[in-house]
Amino acid sequence: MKRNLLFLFFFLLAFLNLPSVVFGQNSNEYYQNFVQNYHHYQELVEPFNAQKSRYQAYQSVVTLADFLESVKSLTAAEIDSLISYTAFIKSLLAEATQILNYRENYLYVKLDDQLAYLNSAKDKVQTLSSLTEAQSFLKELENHYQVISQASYEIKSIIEIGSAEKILANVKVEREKINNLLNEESTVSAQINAARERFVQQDKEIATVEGLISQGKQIQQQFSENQKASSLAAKIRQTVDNAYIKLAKIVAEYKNIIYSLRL
Amino acid sequence: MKLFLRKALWGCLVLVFLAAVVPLVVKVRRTTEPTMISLPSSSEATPFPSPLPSPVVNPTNLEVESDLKMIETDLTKTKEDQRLRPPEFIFDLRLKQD
Repeated sequence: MKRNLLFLFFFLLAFLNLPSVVFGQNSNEYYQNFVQNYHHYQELVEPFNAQKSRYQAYQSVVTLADFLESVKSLTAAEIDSLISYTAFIKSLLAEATQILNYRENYLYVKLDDQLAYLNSAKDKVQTLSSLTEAQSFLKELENHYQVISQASYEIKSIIEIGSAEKILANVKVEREKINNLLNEESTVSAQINAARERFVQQDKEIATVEGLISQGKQIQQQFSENQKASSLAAKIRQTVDNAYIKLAKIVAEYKNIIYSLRL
Repeated sequence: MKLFLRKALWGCLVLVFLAAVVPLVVKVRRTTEPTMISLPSSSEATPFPSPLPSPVVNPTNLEVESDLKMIETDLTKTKEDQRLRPPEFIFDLRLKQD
């Protein structure tokens, strides 16, 4: 009896932990991890600035040594933050691409390369022996940061365009259902005719939304052309927002049409 | 003496009988009293049967309405994800300007 109870206890324990073991952390957990690391990094900025001021004022061996140590601490915290941020955007991409059937594989490879570099860079920080060496190391780190930053904006745009496309597809499904309802309507009345007219008008709006989404996709192509990622992402967001405004109007019109069919 | 005891016993029996029967009689009398007829209030008024049958709504129409509401909810969840804005870091010690 006792053995059975013990078995049941361990079985339940294993069952409850199964999702975290099989599926790993989710994007929110990764983000919380990043927030903690970034908070630690921010806490080190003030001591870094204080040591820098002391070094600038005294230019002594002691202040130089202290400043170099604070540079190393800050850089290590910077790398930890970047690692957790990269893990976060990779997990977000994984969650989003489950819907997109893993179309964006090149981004996974890119992010994996960056994670490999950052993990090796973490060890290198402790071997920095001069400010000149630290400066060139930071320059190298910045180049990798730019790659991660660009991937982040690209993922943001992929998710935004993907969700707009998904909503548009759902609206089109409802369009077909309403079309069937209108075709089934045998009574001829001014109200039914008006409903049909409004329905046809919405097709033009759907075409506009399709145009906006394809415009967003065209801008998305420019990410590979080394354009400024933040401005491209802003343009895509604007396009997607315009599509959402149109979609909200279409949905309101469709609701109006189906209510009128009940009268 | 015996006679006295017999009378006392009878007296007790009568008292017990009265104690059991009187409350029952009072209760029955109370329930049989005529009560006030309560008229239905305006909110309890019996509805008149409608001469027109209520309109039958096509189930597809209801389904479309429910789906459109779900799409509306999806549209409210499309706010920009600020978490994807890359964080800012210091990459320059600015030693040359010092």
